[in-house]
Amino acid sequence: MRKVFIPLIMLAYSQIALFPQSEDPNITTEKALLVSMVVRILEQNNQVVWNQTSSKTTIPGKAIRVKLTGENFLIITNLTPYEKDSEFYILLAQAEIWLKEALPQSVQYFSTFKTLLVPRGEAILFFPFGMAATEESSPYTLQMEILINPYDSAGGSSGD
Amino acid sequence: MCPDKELLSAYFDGEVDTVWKARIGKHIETCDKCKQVLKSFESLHTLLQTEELPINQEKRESIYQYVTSKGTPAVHFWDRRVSLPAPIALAAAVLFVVFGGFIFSLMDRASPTSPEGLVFELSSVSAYGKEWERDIFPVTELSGDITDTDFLIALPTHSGFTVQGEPKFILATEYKRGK
Amino acid sequence: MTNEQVLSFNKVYNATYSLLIKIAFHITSDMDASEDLCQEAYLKYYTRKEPLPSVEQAKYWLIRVVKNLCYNYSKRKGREIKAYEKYGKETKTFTDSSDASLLKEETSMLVQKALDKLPFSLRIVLILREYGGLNYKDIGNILKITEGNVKVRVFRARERLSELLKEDEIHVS
Repeated sequence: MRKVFIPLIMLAYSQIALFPQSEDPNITTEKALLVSMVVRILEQNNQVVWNQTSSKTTIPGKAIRVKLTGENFLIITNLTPYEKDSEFYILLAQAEIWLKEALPQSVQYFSTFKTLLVPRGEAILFFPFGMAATEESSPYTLQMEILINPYDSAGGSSGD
Repeated sequence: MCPDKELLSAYFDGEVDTVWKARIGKHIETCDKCKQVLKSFESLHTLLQTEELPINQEKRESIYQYVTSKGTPAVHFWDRRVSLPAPIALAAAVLFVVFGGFIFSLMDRASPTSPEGLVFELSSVSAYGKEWERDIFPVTELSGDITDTDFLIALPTHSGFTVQGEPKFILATEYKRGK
Repeated sequence: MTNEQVLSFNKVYNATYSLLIKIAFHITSDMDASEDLCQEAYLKYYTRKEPLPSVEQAKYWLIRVVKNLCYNYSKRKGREIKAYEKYGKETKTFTDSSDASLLKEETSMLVQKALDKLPFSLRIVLILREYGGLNYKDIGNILKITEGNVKVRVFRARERLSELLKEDEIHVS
């Protein structure tokens, strides 16, 4: 019974991630922003072995919270965009990371908080576990790419 | 013309194709230098195999027992949370698609939160097999309302990430420049 | 767990245990840790939702996991414990005490000590080749590097190891 249920739930969840909440009366089209993100798993040679795209509309000052879950970790990211001027956005990026270690049995916790000045049209990259320094490091790197655009010019509809 | 040592090393491992294998084989018949190089690889190989690494059979047995007693296939958090019988579950799934985030936040069953700090939701069933003694599902109040803006992205299992450095937010152009 | 799954795990376990322990030990120089890390790897394998279709594939999967676990373990432990201290602990696992095997023990220790000094990227290929008996293709597969890369690394590892052994008065000629 459960086996039937699970795939549907998975489908439902992935759908949720893809459909942005729309019809929010608080979003006036002139101020609305579309935050798109791509989560990727990269191998050592920067090859992408997995990715997922999603996007969400919001307004300046309203946070978007993203939860990334995996086998031994949980990441919660808050992204709050602001408009600075015609050239820049400001992005308040916060993240909390929980990582379970096998030996010794423990849970590691990291948090980060950064204010970024983002030229319009430029993407931000987030590495929850840091960036691979050498080829000897963990074979996989987790990366989130974030892009902020005005809601209108993006054509109004969700990313894929 | 002697083949370079790297090639001889590959030859020693039997990793050269038949053409090269024949050529090198012929060459070493008459080349003492290369014969010596191969001999050194041979000696190193023998040396490395000198050890008698004793395998603790008791430990082997106990590891087997431990693993097979602990293991039921990994239960993912989404099946942990819900225990509805199938027809209702199906209906619920349909509702998810229709009502998106509203149902989604209901699923979270977020407890009333304090204005700041973390609230942990505990569960007696662990999500990732019995390795987790308790589930840590932090609900943060970093910004705004819980029912707001939630994206859940579930990564494939067995990605096995480890910490490579500090978590980092960086502009894409800066990152490219740094590479 | 179905009977089938239990049986297939049993098969995989028996086909890979010695190999995994060997590989783990040569990376970490610590038998206790190696046993724990292998346990971890087997647990991960056992709790996979989709078991792998062949023993061979399971073997490669396990080797890859063990390699990563051992690498991370080594990094965390750092170089706090000096090699000779570790080996002080190791001798009690060798039970035979005749002259010949004492000499073997000592040689073993020196070899492991030298192996320990190799940078990880060289050490791992040599371990997989000499102890794992894997061919270049499989090593490349496990480490996600090209066969050519494997070839170079194996050679460099041999050179470097010989140099290190010479420092300890073991001549490989």
